[in-house]
Amino acid sequence: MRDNFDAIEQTAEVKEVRARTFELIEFLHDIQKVEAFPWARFPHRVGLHNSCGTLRRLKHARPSELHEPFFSKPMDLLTKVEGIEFVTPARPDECCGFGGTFSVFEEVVSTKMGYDKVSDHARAGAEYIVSADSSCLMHQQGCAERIGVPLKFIHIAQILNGASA
Amino acid sequence: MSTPPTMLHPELLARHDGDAILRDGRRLDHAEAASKPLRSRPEPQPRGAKIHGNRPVDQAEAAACFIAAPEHEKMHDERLWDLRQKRDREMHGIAEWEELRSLASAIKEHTLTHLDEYLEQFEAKARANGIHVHWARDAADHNRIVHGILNDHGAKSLIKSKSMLTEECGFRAYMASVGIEVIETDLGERIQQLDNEDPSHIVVPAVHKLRTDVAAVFSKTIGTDPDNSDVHYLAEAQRETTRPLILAADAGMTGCNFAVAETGTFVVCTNEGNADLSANVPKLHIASIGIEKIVPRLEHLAVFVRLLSRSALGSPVTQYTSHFRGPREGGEMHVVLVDNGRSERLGMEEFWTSLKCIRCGACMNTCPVYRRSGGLSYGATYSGPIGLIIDPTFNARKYSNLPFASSLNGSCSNVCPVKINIHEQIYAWRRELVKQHEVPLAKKAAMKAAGELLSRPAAYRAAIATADVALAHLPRFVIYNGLNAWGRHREVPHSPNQTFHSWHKANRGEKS
Amino acid sequence: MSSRDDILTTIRANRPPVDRPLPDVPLFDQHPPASLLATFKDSLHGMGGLFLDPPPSGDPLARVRAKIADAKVVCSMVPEIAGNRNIADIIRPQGLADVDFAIVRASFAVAETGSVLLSETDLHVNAVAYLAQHLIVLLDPADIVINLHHAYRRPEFRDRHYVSFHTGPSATADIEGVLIHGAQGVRSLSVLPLARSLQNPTH
Repeated sequence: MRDNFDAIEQTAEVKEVRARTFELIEFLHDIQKVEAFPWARFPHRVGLHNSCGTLRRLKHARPSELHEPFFSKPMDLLTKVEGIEFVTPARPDECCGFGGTFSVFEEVVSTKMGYDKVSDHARAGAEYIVSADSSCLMHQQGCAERIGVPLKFIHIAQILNGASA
Repeated sequence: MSTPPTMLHPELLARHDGDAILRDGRRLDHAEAASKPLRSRPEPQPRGAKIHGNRPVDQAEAAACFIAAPEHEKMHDERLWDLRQKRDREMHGIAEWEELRSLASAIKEHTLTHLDEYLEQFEAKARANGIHVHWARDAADHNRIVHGILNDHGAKSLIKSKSMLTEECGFRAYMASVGIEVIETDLGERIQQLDNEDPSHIVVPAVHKLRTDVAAVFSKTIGTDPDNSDVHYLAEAQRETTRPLILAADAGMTGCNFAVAETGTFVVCTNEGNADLSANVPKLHIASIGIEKIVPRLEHLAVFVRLLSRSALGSPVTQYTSHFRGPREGGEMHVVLVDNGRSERLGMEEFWTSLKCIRCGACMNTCPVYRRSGGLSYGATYSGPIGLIIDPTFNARKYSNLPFASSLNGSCSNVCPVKINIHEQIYAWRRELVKQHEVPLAKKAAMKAAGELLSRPAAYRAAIATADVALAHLPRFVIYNGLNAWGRHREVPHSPNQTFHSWHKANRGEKS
Repeated sequence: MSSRDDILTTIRANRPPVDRPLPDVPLFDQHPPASLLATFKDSLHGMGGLFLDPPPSGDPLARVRAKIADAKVVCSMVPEIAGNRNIADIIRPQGLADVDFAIVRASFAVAETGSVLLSETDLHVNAVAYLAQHLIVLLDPADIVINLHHAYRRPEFRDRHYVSFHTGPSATADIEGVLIHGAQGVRSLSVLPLARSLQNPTH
């Protein structure tokens, strides 16, 4: 929204909305600089999925392709949740295959990417996949159920908000 | 954090097969697959996209066929992902990596904005060193010029090293039509030539083939044992059968990785040394050079040579990096500077930076779509992300589907050593092709509908609210049928009890 | 209009209307390694090359002599060791097709990559470095530069017609990623550190 929402006339109101459209993770990490989530508890093994948009466009974390110091805003927030344990898949930031219209026009490749993604997380020992992106979660959940991989899926906001398993 | 598993398909790991041990007992593994070779069971090779004249290539269908050959797909995906991992390892060893990428991009952009001057400088220097310089407008011009040079020397056989430019020009087919024998000397290209199939990857041309596929090809063409798919055996057979052809050839041809305007030098990088054989055994050496290969000065070569092989294969440099500045004593050297659409592309505001490409293939190695589809699924000389943005300039109709063969994840742009914004150009091509009326009505309508929905918040919220309610109540057979592409391979999402927006509104009370 | 004129005219007409200055390229040598030779040796090993550690005493060429002892055809381009095929007699490169070992001195080497630089002056007949089954390279450790930025400042690139970095032996991993040495060129490349003799200074 901040970068591309220029298809309509740029009135003062539109500009105001664009400047203030923070994504949730950015809001909690950069603006509110939340230090703790005392109400949150999530004693499970979790695979973190950064969607390609949040990773490479919104810069939630360092993409593995770049030679930069490591950082991860979602991980910074989630490590403040009691009991959470991270597992790392073989391919932490490979695209899961949702890609918007891609999932319809190239459905076989899209679903293969999804099957591989969930299998990877499962092999790493994840019970849950957590993400800030609902579309990715939806896609991966559909893939996991189709091939019988017993993973659960949860939005990062739910964990931070104190959701239990 | 637990130790990450290293492979997506660990069942592919084979027993150690005893090659390439270092002095201290470590196994040598640069530029090859994960530390143990991959071993899979024989399976017919998927053959790539069906080409019907100028009809749009159906990449999705060819990709589906590739995925339906699981042994090939797994090996291909794992092999190229490993090259990506090796690239990352090299990158972490170079503190100035991102600075090198910025320099490479800046040098190329400067050169392209002064391309005529640098080409003229290159020509003048090369001529002064005794090199014959020719200019070819297009593929036909290139083929005709090379044919002319060969005819002048009565040459009937030509050995050559790998050159994607010559693939673009349909060079082999042309030479066959005029009765000149062409022998590819790069192992991957030779395999493909003998199999009458195009190369699938610009750096590793036969990466889509299992060793059993290669055994089948060689047994039919160079007389190897059809049941022996040992890779050392196959490679040795190719070396021994190609060597006499190299020694007997009338002429040699190479491509070019970089051409230096300051000195009239052109640079050819290989791992096998086959370009050096092609150039130094016969008396006559012809080099095909795309006009975008120019760099201004020798000092710039350091930047590109440091980036090229690290990006392509994860090794610091190719085994052979050869610089040609003039013919050897008693020999003759010709270069053919080829345009074939490049000067037109220079005038495209959104796409001219694709000319920075140094043909490293890193974008292919990282692309999750490419790795699962195989390069032949694109039906074009250039496949993968770079293919998606340059092929439509060759034929907008035939390649109109290609920019949709992408999830726009952006990994390609991040690995590109010259910082081409590949994924943004892919997106720009979608809009461009719609403007040129090359996108089929159904696709256009679906994308327009999605765009309208996503751009109007109230409509979006209403739509997903209804969708979720519908999903919760419709019987399974209504959702899972042939008309529903989503449901063919996936379970339909559960409808949440509350959408995020309504939860946020209820709990935070802020304007969303 | 010739193809040349066509192409140059189109390029000029399509010049992107943006300002892109040529950047300065640093030498990236602020942190040189403690030993250029040690770094070169590591890089060479990583690319499949062999390093012939000289013996602590006695004949510095002992290991080379041992290597070529059973060879049928040895072609030496260096005065330090004799072969049995004289490169000066070679009229056509095909005359080198049966060479087992070629021995040459590198013009210089690059620590960063493990590369040795061979030119037509070192090789006399360029093809010998590719037709021989094995290549042995004498290298003066004083001739090792830090990295490729330094390498490209060397005069060889300006005054010779053929200049090639060799980094390990011929190799390929085209079939299922299995590494092969001797794909089309030499099966092995060995480097012996040996200073240039006074009779044979840098040419």
